Amino acid sequence: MRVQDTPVGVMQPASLAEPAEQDTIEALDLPILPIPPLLVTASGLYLWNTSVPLPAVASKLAPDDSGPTDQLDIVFPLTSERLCLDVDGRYPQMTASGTITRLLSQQTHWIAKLKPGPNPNQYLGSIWYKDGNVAAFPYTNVEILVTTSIFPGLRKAVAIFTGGGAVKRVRGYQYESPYFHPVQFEFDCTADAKPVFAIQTHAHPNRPASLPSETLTLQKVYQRAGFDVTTSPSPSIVPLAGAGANGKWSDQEMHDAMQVYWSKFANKAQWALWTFFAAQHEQGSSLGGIMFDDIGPNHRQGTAIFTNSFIAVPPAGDPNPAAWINRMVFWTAGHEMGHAFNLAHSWQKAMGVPWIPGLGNEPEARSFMNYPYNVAGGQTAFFSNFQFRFSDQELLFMRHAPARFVQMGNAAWFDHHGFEQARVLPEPSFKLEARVNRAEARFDFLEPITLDLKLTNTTSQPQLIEDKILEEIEHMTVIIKKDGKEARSFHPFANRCWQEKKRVLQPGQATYQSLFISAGRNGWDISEPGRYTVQLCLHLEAEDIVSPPLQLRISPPRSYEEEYLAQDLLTDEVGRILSFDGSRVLGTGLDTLNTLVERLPESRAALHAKVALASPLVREGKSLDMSRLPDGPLQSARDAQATLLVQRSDFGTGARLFKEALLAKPQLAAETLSHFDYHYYVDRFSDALEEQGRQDEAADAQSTLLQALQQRKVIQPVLESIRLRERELRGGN
Amino acid sequence: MQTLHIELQEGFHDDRVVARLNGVEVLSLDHVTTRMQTGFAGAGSTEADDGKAVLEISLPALGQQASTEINLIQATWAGVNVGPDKAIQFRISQAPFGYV
Repeated sequence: MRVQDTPVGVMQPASLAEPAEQDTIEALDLPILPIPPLLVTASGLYLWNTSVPLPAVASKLAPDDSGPTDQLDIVFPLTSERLCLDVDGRYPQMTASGTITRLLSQQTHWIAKLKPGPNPNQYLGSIWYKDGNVAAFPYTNVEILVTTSIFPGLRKAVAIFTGGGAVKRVRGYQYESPYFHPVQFEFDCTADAKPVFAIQTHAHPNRPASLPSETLTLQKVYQRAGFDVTTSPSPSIVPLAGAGANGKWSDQEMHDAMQVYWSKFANKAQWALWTFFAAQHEQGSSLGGIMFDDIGPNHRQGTAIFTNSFIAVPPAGDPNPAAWINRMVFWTAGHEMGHAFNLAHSWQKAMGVPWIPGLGNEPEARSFMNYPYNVAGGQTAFFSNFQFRFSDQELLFMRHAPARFVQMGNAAWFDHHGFEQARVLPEPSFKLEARVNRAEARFDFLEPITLDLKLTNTTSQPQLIEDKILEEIEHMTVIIKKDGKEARSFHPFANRCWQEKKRVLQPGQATYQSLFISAGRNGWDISEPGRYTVQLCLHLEAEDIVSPPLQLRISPPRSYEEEYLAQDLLTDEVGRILSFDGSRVLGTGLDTLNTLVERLPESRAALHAKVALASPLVREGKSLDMSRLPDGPLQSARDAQATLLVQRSDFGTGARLFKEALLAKPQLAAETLSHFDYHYYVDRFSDALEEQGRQDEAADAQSTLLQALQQRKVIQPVLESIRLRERELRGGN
Repeated sequence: MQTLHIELQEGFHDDRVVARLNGVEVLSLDHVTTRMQTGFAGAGSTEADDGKAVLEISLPALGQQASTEINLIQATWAGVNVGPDKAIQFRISQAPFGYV
């Protein structure tokens, strides 16, 4: 009989089992033992099902016993609910947790500690953790009644929620799986790596006496932790060229390799993980593995193990060096994969902001997440008592924490284990503001968003600042959060590196800059209709300056035309063109912007499009021609046969677009482009006009700029600089 | 001569770290931050005469410093950690540290 290796250790009929090669308990060299009687357990995942009959105790409830969440469920029928019961089998945590999802996004999550009730298959507990829409879930206690059966289809559970001043709430659930979450693993490696996916647990003589003899796979480790593991077929060989000239892997190189070779790669949260075996990291042999993926917006999707490192160096005199190496590589893989589930090291549990308060460090834990060589007695003591498992604290997290904390690509690495908090002083030296300079922070659908940033010296002393402090976006964290969704960190298309130059900001004086935040390397962070919160943190040497949250609202589309155009407009290419004020090579994106101007000429989005289309037209520019690129890898720049082409201007078209965008409706232009950028674009247009010998028109543009910004109450020094520029242009005529 | 490897490990957050061996500055690093995946923050090494030496680590911005005596009779690795109370702690080893 094939039996399933589940977190609860229960024997399941084969129809529910994983592929045989992964989940069969193999007797290996042991004699075939008689099959033990079926152990029927209650643990696993249950899903709300209205057809589950409620037992007698629950059926006595009157219809009006429905609580507030039930009433919501009637209003919002798109409700699903899951119950994770963890009371028996392998490593039981005597815990139940549940997630109620309404309208596909609004979630309430609860966790209760359980103890057996007076009746068989009855569990009672108090709810000690809530997350999400807790107002709709006032309950403090839960009673769970389980119907067990050897047939999964007959397994059911009923939960009765009470307390919190609310009337009882009763839910019936149908058994779904012995696992709490699904996860898919993909293992890839380089040709010079020596991956280990499984070990024989008795291969090394230093082991716990009680450790069963079996072939233990990485999949089995995580199945026992509560995950329904599937594995992508045969590993890919990742070419060594990906590691660059030195043959060692940097985090960025591995991240690139992950995007190319991982068949499941996507920039989104998913229960999937890429595990990469390579020879060595660029840090050298002291690094045995790393969860390298804290790059970009979706962390914890990739992890790596380095088999030409200290983990392949057994202690002198070890009785079975080959088994020691296998076990250490296997342990490292289990450890690094644990980081992808957002598990911290055993000694880091209490650091930062843990997912639940009061988590203690576990420096002596016999867990995948501890360092074997750092416990008392060193690695010998560790492995003599290591059962190839995670600690109870870690299992509680993986099985019962809100899924977004655990799921790969969701919460940022170490988020809810402990992120570094902003170093905000009681009396900050500066004030940072992000503004949109309009009466209501409401934007049209498709309207690109550019913020005006202002940094003010709030002390009574002059302060030295970097000249380009607001342009060096790598010194700034920009968080964008859409209501009901995870916060995302904004990553612009380019980071500029300026020569270090200081300047003085006098008391009360401010410096300004714009920030285009609609799109970046994450894609279009702000595009869908809805409410958003934007907050900035500027990291200075001695302190962090945090801006007040800025609430934005994106209106819904006003026409089918807008909806239709959005498909072409909200692309990486258009994002880049708008971010870099034009392009001479991104043809598809330019076509889209021309279409936008043609079809929605009066829209705010068209105004931005005109600026981006006009900018490269009013001057000659260079483009890199790589059309003669040969096949195969490039060995040198010469191989590319690239040449610089001079692209001629089309001043007439460019000037027309600039005039329409900047001068026809100057108030609208200043509002939608941001004060800072409106000033910048008019200056660029004036410069181009001046170069064409059209000083009068250049001066007129400055005059329009002055009037627009005067009406918008821009500070006097800025207005004075515009007056000066206009006078220069008039004088030059 | 022996090599002393100084490895900055847990507890650093954008810190300036200065290491002195027998009063002579041998390492000065800015913006040292522990990478939580590995517990590693930065490293440096120096050559020193055989025998006893005093390694002093200071974090000027935090006003913290601590020292330890090391007997350099072979290549030595000094792990430096900053505790929750900002106290500097040493871990001395005759074998390289490993990080995962």
